[in-house]
Amino acid sequence: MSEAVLDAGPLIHLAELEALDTLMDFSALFVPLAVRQEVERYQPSALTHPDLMLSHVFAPLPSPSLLAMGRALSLDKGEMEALSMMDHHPNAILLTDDSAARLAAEHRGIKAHGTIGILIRSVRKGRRTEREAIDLLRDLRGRSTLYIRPSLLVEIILALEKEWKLVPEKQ
Amino acid sequence: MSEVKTTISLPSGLAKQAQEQIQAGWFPDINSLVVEALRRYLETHRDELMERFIREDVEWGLHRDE
Repeated sequence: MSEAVLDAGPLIHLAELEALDTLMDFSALFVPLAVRQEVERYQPSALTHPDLMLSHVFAPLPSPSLLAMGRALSLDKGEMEALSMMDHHPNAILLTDDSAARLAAEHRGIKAHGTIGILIRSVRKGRRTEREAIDLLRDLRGRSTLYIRPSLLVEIILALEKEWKLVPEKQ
Repeated sequence: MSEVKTTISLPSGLAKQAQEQIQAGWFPDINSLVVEALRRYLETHRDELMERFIREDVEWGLHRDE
């Protein structure tokens, strides 16, 4: 089982979709202070899920190279703290939906994934059926504040239905 | 450089933070701050970049054990 460091996006978006339980099979879920504060502002229910053991942590001070990257990419405080945590947990996975944070992670050799990956992974981990995962993806635009181009989302759903050999549902 | 005028509404907390930056002298006015913020956001949230990350997520979700 892997450890994960959370940025605000996946916590907020999964709470909006009532799918926070898809995070349950990570061995540890680290939530830096600035991320917690951001989630408290926008989706406080994400922090009180009864079955989710979130570890609220103080992130270490960012390294000079991370500071420089953060300025260049205009990363916010939560993203900086999450990336700083990753420097001390190099085998963990950074969970973020922000593409600037993912770009920074890529440059630093950090594994990073977002809400869509978590939802699809939940099938592999036995937490959702294939159809349930497809339904959550269909609901993304209506029920969550995660932005994704509609045509790309349709393409992904069709590809998943093919991969999972599901009969496509009529829209 | 041609310009397009637009009107936006800011959440009060965000507007307060913006005003603090302006008063501290980082930006001459709210217009400059919003233009800079938007330019930077669009630089790091290009369509092809976001699409690549989402496709990587699909691959990870389907097949890659961590």
